[in-house]
Amino acid sequence: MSNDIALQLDDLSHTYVRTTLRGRRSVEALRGISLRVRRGELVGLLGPNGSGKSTLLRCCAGLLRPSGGTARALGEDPSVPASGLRGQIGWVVRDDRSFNLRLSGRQNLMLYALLEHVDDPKGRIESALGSARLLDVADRPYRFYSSGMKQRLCFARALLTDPPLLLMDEASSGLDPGLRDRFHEAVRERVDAGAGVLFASHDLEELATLCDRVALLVDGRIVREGAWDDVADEARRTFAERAEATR
Amino acid sequence: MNRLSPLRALVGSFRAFLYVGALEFASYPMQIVDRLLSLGTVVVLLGFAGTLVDVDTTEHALGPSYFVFAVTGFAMLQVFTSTMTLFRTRVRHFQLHGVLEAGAMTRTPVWAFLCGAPAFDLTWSLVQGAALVGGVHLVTGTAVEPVRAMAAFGIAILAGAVFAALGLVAAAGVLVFKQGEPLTRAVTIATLLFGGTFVPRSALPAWLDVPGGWLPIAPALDAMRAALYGAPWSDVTEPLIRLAIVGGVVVVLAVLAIRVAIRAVLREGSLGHY
Repeated sequence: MSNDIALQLDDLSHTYVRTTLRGRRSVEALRGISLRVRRGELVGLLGPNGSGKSTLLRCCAGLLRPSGGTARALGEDPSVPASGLRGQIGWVVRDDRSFNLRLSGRQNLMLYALLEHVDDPKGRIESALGSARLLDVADRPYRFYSSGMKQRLCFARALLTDPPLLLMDEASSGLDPGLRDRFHEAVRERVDAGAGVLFASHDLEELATLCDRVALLVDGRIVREGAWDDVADEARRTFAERAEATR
Repeated sequence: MNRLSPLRALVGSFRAFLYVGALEFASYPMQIVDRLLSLGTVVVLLGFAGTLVDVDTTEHALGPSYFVFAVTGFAMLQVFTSTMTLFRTRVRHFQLHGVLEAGAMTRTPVWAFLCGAPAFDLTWSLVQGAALVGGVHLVTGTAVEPVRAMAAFGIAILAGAVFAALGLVAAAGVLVFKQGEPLTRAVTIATLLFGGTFVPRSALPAWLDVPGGWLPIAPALDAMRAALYGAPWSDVTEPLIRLAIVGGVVVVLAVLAIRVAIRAVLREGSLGHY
């Protein structure tokens, strides 16, 4: 795998298996996913609810061991707990509730800076808060943060180690249009600095304006991949069909 | 290059959660008053119980009085219950709020993250126990040589580590099975009844002495009381060896349980599920 590849997925699949008293139930969440994200590239992962976006991101992050195929993040297998990948992947999810309500944004970040063993934790925290446009509210208790601030704090945490790979799952949800634009700018800054980003969303407009390439995920398969113009028609048709089916 | 040595990971995790725990504790100004009040109530109750208990202190190796015996038992019990319950409650909280997933993305391995999570409360229970035992000895005018006091504190730390390993076994159960975790309750009840916390083991039926003596708290208390009450050092080392044997078994069990649990939740993707 060449050095400019941040993330490479080959024939990745995952089946959730649940054993209950009634027997085993399985749900095929991902089927034969192959995808590459280069460093300095922002790839959008577009798909309706339940299409497998979060499962795919969790496999990439090493939070879920795929049933088949391979995932290589920065050249390593993320599903190996002892891999050297820890701290190299920024993880941003929507509705993150992992921060301590009693602490300020800055104090919350200090916990993760210590867990990351970063050099100069205070400096890194300032830099991450600045990138996430949170410096003015950094000392406010987290319980008084708006949902947009919470989302940006999650982003700031992901930046603490200056990671070469960012995995973002509907990371801009809860942001108003103005904040969303500034959030996109901050993500773009990371991409321009050389980070590879896989950005999952079901918002067509957002991915159209933000991403270099888009992969359309439907029922656990990538049905189309390429520049937005190549994917747009198929994406609109898929979402229209879903909307029709749920009426 | 990116991997941490196990010791560095563990120390880093402990330090990080000690920092957060202290800040969180300070954010509740009334908490210190609440904790001191509840502690004072227990000491008064044990003092009252001490006036009711009429036993031969020499026959049952109670030390200077039943009151001192019971307070020492209570202090160790606090360390025991804290370590037994904190790990599993932290795991439960972390699973509910996605903290485990966020932690798993850091350089600190999940096992070290779990071990460090209750750092502040563990430290608090140790310091509180030391203050309690020291205070009772001062109040009752029972002198303890500094070297024996240091030995007793060392025994408490060693016992805390053994209890923590048992707590991690319980946490591994919660990690995988989410709800059911019968270990803590069973061990805590057995400890209260047969571990020599408030009732001297010599006062129990002889057939209970053997199983009771292998509960982790029993050798810890035997060693601590022997150190504090001026018994020969051989009376300190004998239970310490028992504690080390129990500890060795429990640590191996904890390492295996946590490894299996982490593998299982990563396979299921249920690190953030509860």
